[in-house]
Amino acid sequence: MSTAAQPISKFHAIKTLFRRELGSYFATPLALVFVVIFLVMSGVFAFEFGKFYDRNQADLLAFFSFHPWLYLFLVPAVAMRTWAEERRSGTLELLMTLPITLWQAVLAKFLAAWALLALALALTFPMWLSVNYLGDPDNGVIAAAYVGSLLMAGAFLAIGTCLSAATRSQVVAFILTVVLCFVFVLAGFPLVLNWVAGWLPKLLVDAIANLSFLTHFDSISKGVLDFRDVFFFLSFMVAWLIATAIVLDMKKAE
Amino acid sequence: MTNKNLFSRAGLMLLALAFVALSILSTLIMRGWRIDLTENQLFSVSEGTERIVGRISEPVHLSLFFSDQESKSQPELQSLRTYAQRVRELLQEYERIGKGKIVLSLVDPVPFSEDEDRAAQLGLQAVPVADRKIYFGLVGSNSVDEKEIIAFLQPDKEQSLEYDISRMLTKLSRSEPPKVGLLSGLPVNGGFDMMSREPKPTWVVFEQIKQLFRVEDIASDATSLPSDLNLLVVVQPKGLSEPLRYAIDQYVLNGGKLLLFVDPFAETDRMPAGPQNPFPQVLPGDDLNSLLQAWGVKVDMNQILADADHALSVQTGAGGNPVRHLGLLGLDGNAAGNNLTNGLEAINVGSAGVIETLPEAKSTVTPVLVSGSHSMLMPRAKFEFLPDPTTLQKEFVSADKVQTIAAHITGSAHSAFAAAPAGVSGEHRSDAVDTGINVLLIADTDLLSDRFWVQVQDFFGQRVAQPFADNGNFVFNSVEQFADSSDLIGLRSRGRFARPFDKLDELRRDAETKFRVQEEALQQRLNETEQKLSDLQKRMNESGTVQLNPQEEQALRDFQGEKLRIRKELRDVQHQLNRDIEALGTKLKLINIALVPLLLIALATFIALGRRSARSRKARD
Repeated sequence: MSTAAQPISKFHAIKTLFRRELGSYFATPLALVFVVIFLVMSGVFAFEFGKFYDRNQADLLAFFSFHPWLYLFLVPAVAMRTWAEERRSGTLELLMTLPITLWQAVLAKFLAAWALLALALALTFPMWLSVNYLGDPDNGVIAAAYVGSLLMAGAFLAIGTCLSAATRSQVVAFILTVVLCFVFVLAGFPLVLNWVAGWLPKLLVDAIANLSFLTHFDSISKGVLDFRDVFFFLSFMVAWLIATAIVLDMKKAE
Repeated sequence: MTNKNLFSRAGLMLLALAFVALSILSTLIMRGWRIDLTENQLFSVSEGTERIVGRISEPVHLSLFFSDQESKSQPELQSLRTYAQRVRELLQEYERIGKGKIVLSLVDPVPFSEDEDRAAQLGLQAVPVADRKIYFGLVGSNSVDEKEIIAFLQPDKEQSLEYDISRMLTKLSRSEPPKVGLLSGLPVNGGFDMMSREPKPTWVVFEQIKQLFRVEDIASDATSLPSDLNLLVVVQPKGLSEPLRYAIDQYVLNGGKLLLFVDPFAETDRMPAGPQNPFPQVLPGDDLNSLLQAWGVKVDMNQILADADHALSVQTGAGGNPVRHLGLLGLDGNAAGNNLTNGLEAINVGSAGVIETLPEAKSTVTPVLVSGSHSMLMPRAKFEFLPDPTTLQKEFVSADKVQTIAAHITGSAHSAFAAAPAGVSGEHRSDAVDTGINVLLIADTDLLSDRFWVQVQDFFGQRVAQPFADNGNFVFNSVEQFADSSDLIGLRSRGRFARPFDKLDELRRDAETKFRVQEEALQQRLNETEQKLSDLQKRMNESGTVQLNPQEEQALRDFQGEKLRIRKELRDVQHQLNRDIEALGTKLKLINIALVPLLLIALATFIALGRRSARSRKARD
């Protein structure tokens, strides 16, 4: 073959890698374990701690309010292997020799993991059926909360993929991700704000409060898709994905 | 370290900075871009507001006072700051649609500044939080310097935010508020509490009506109505003079708008209680049926509505179980499909009457508030002294008929009087004007009393009304629609107070019905057994024998055992009341926690086994 291979379209490259990644999740019981744990925990939290049934209110507040805390531990578990695994087993170099650019690879891997999270979230549909069976909820609010939850999961995941790229060890990636996500959940909480309020200008303090996942998630789950909240999550993901590409580039140079 | 690495590190730093800068920018730039997914468009400005704003002729100034600096480094005030942002945006939305007619200024009353003095002077409320004073109030003023204030915008009243702002604008932009005449046989203006020797506050409904309209009180012994009324409100009148009845009759026939509340059993209107009078009687109101018949309707003053579909639960005594009271109803405004009650989810009424349309009626009677179909009319006497509401359930037999509790009466009608009473001059009108009469008749007065719909709390020295039902909204809608400022109506039916699990109420109702039947049967058997026991004991005493023969002893033991068994069964039946609900809860819990995971595991196992057998087949080939 002396002629150069037809350059495959960007989209096609992403699609192919996306399929491979998603397939690799389901090749092992890993995806199954993750989804099952997520479903069981979200159900237990909603019923036991959120008192979904005893509240006698037809909304899913009791269910959604625990999502940030569920994601805090479950998303890093999904994210930790995205790049660390490739680095450890040495398949990263192989991946980089394929006719696919770095950012396409980053995006495809991210989207595959995000699709898995979306699947887990979609499988909580019995909750939605239950609340509609029991009463007459505001389904617009529930739809908004699902969107908000998915966006928040994506934000957690973007941090996780970046840190997974930064290290060879999945465990280290996991721990770092949990710690950093925790910071982003808690930004806007007294703990963090008090600490920075002393030595930062006001504008920055407000900016930090604005970085909290909870602030944006809560405002979306009220039932309003404010473009600022959506933009926050999307730009957050984009920023971390660019960071992932830069980190991979740095490591390649080492 | 290579150059490239250095560049990448700088790149990461830049990226972080760019992101933070972008997020700050986005909060400033992308204001008002949002999709409101809530069922009632809770977060968008409604058409009513647009019409109100469109009618403003002279510019209105709105000043939002918010202690921005003071609250900034206070972590516990973050949620308040978020809400302040919402309020700011909503006001900016108003300013936008006002096209210059609304001028908004944002004021930050920093401590010891002139702004703070101004805020205090205007009567805004400083709420102490973490040894600071936080202001968060709204002041509106118009071109003739009339002022309206909201002393503190509480976050938990977000649902009525738009209504509160639009109401403020309505008040500031109209030349003169409509005039409402109020004729009441109930102490709606407060009065004096004989027991506690303290003056009582005005009922919240009327307090709020008085803020919006010029209300003129009409004494029960008056002989005529004030002129130029936009609306007449009559509440359970007592001892009306003949001339005043005639005046009302003529007012209505001349097209005057009337809101009439009559109640066969005005629960909240009792004789003053005292040591001689521990169970004070309910005072009767005037029977106005002579007037009503001329308009084509009737309210039987001896019949009270019981409704099993909407009964509310009440606590019986201390530590008693909540039981459903068939006379206390939480009605659904949507049931009648009328714009006065649309969107009002819970209107609580107590021992209400029922409006019947007479066969000879020439008027049009439109139901505004209706009962459920499992209803029954009960005699008034049943409610007079009711220590245990369950007695109503025992006698309840559904008539399977939807009853009307409130109705809008329009169209033609005639006078209840053949001629003007003696001493009343003026032209007698025997038939309604061509445009017809305009009466809203409500067969309950308890819905007006505070304890049926609102909790008044003291918020740092201010009386703050926290509604838990829509009664107030229903009355305001009616008053406003009738007094000609109907644009506020749509704003009111926005939020929902509660979305309870209807399914559980259904289960509770079914269980109750079953339980009553079983309970009665068991009670019957218990009575019979006790009768037999006492007969046996009587015989023993008569015969004077201390010694029982073995059969008698056996019988005695049997009866006693039977009695204990029945008592236990009764207890079990009572426990069963909640069993269905608990069982459903457990079932749902299991479905939500385990069903999908189990299915997934089964599916995965199935696929894995399929692969394995395929592999082994390949190996064999």
